[in-house]
Amino acid sequence: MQKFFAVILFALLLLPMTTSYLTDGSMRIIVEVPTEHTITIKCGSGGKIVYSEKEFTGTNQFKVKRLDTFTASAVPFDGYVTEAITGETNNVTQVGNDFSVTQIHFDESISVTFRKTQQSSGMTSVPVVGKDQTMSAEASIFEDTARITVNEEKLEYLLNQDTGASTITVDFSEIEQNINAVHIPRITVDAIQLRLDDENHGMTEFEVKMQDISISFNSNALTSIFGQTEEEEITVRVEQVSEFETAAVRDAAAEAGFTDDIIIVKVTMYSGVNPISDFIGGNAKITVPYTLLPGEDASSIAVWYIAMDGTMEHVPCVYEDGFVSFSTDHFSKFVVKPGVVANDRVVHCLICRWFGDDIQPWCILLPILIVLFPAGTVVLLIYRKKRKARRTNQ
Amino acid sequence: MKKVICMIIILLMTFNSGIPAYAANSTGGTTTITTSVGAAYTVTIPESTRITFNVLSNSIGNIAVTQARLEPGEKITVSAVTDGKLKNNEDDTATIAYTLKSDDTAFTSADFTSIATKALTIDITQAEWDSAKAGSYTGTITFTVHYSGGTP
Repeated sequence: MQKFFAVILFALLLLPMTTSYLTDGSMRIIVEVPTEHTITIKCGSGGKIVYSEKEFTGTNQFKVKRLDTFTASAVPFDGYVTEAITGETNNVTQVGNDFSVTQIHFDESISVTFRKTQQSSGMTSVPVVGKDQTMSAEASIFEDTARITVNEEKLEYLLNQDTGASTITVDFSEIEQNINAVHIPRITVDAIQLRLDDENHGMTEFEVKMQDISISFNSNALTSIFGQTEEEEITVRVEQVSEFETAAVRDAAAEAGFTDDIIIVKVTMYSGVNPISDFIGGNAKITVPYTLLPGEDASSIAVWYIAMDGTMEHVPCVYEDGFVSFSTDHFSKFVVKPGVVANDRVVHCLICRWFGDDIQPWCILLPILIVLFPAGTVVLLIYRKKRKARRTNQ
Repeated sequence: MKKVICMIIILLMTFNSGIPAYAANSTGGTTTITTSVGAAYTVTIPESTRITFNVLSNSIGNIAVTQARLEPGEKITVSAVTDGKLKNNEDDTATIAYTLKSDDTAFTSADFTSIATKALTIDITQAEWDSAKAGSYTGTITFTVHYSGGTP
């Protein structure tokens, strides 16, 4: 009996110490990982795609199991070669005419282009223009692509004579054919770049003019571009396209109110079949024509870069004499559009990005506050000092 | 001896039993009234949720203290325990690692002394999404609510 009481006593002594109260609950997290993904292949003219021993031309979609490998071949027709195989992401690898996507974990879009192997039917002369001097360069034209051949001695002569020219331009805009792409030889760029790097020479840009669109590279851009390849030439292609390639970009563009009246400028650059999109540390100025429509204000013209994920970035631009100019450190697609774009995916500026994309008033208010606060403080200090001086004098 | 033990038990029971109110007359003629107001609180935790594939940070709801009548100096602590893995329903060796986060930092517990909410997210790296096998995945988070002042 004594033991029984002792146990009760012990339990009662413990009671005040165990006062915390606990309750539990749990939640489940559920996610579905898709079992397959879609590979969209846009096959250009001049060839076909072979996949699973079947041939395809035009645009086709293939369903592939997740994490599997997709392999296909680009087969050019007679007289053509494969020009470029480019994926929406960097997940596409190429060996010869075969290309594959390994460990497929999202939908992929691949573009395959071909070009004719025949040489140009003829040569034409294009002007290479400095400030005061102009010389001719030989250009072989095939379809919409030109390959420039500049006599090194003549180029040296022009560059040495035409001191003070800020830009040297290879101008394809005057010839009859529509030129959308230009092969630029390394040797030409090397000679020009020597002058771009020479501060005493005053030359700052190398410009290629195709139709109405021109691209000016600064020295850093040329260094970066040719530093990314060992090929002896690069190819720059500029074209106006009518629609965006990916659904994400199309959706973002539709949300932003980009309609049929916009201009989409697609600028691409290749070294062989490998794309070069960034020129880190360098800049290229792109100039495109834009005719103001009735009621449009020149100051309202805006340029937007739309990334693959649909994020839009405003690119500062200048409108002058019917041309819109903007600088970029990478080639992509750019939209020229008048008016303000209302879209929550638009990144307005650094201040908006800091506060959140949708708080645009800070763009104006914060700089004003930054200026007004120190200015107000200075005024107040001066006032107080003067008042103190007056009191001392009294 | 038995009497002594009985007396001690009676005394302990008396001390541990709740006395809702106590009044005594002082010799000075004033009256002191003491009352005890019990603590009460309501804590809600997120309900089971389906997150979106390939999104790096999925919102899964809030821990919310919607009512908090606490004793002075006391607090409610809500803790979360998880193994940080979503397991494939067909093959539990296939997993997707995640981090339970609040305010961009890993969440293990939070203290509340008043009405407040804490938003939670499930963060999964792109590398984890990219290497995830196909199928349905499930993970469990267990929340524990602890009141420092004892049973309310």
